[in-house]
Amino acid sequence: MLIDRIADGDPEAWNMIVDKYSKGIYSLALNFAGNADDAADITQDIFIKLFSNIHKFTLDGNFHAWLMRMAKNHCIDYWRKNRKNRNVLPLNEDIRVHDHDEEQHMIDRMDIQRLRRRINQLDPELRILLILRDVQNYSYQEIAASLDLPLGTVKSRINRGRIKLARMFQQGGDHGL
Amino acid sequence: MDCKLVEERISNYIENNLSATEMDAVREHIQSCGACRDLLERMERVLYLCEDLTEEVPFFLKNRLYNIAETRVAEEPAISGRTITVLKWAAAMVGTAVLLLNLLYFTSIVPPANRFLHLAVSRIETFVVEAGAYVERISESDRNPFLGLFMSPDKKIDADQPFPDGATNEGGKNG
Ligand SMILES: [Zn+2]
Repeated sequence: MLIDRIADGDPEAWNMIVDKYSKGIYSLALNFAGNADDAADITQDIFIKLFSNIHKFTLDGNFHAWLMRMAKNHCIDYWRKNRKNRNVLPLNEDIRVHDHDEEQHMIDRMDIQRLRRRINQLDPELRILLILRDVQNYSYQEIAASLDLPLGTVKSRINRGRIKLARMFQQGGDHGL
Repeated sequence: MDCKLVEERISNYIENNLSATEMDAVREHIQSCGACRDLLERMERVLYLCEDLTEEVPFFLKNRLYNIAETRVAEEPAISGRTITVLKWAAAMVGTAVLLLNLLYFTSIVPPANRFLHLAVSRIETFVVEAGAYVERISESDRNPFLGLFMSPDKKIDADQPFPDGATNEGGKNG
């Protein structure tokens, strides 16, 4: 078992875990925090926590769900500690977008910057759910099971989050260009 | 269907998760209501953009994540936390005892106790030396502690033959 090998200090087993899960965690952190610096810190802290707690993981459990819960809790903790000095960092990281023609490409880039800023204004619990569902494409069932929430609650919260986000996109007068 | 009910169903509408009649009712409302149509369009735009919000992990960060295993392993010995706690307490108790014994020994307040301590110290020394030899035998006997336990100290174990004949018989005699 991979987890056993990590607990035994096998660096290769650990690297496999990093390869498999780092993109998801980083993406969650990036869209949660809204900037690349904080996202790197959050991601690193989550993986340190994962490493030092890996012996606590029970093999009959769902590793991915366990990690997701840990990541969510860490994001929320991070938000609590840093809420006073939020919204000061500019969003300046490079954003890759799908292939469109050049003009559409530019519009998407700017919209993506705005969207991240808007996501960052959502209540943190709502933000996590929305990122898991709409950025990372987890099913409602997976999210509900992993975060130990009723399915109906997850669905209605995500719907609420989407409505807020859509309205904010509108209020800023920043749709289209 | 009014705007509020449409809002409640709008995600399910986008994801095609409503009954046929409800889908029709929402569609009908949206066609006649500018506000709900606007909301739907913006939400679809947001969802479309969300697909592009994932990014690759930056190179420097990935390296930091790989390194966690190495740095942490170096910091923490491969024994459980409980064992470490027990060892710490044991070490603290031994340390305290040694301090008290030193006090008695060097002040020579009680001469019989002093003589007793001489004896105790020499016993401890013998024990430490024997324990050291035992540990050495274990490491020589290819990780079989029982073999080392039953061997006499002068008997050398053949590395190619981890279970030499008679080892268990000898163990029976000596043990
Ligand atoms: Zn309406």
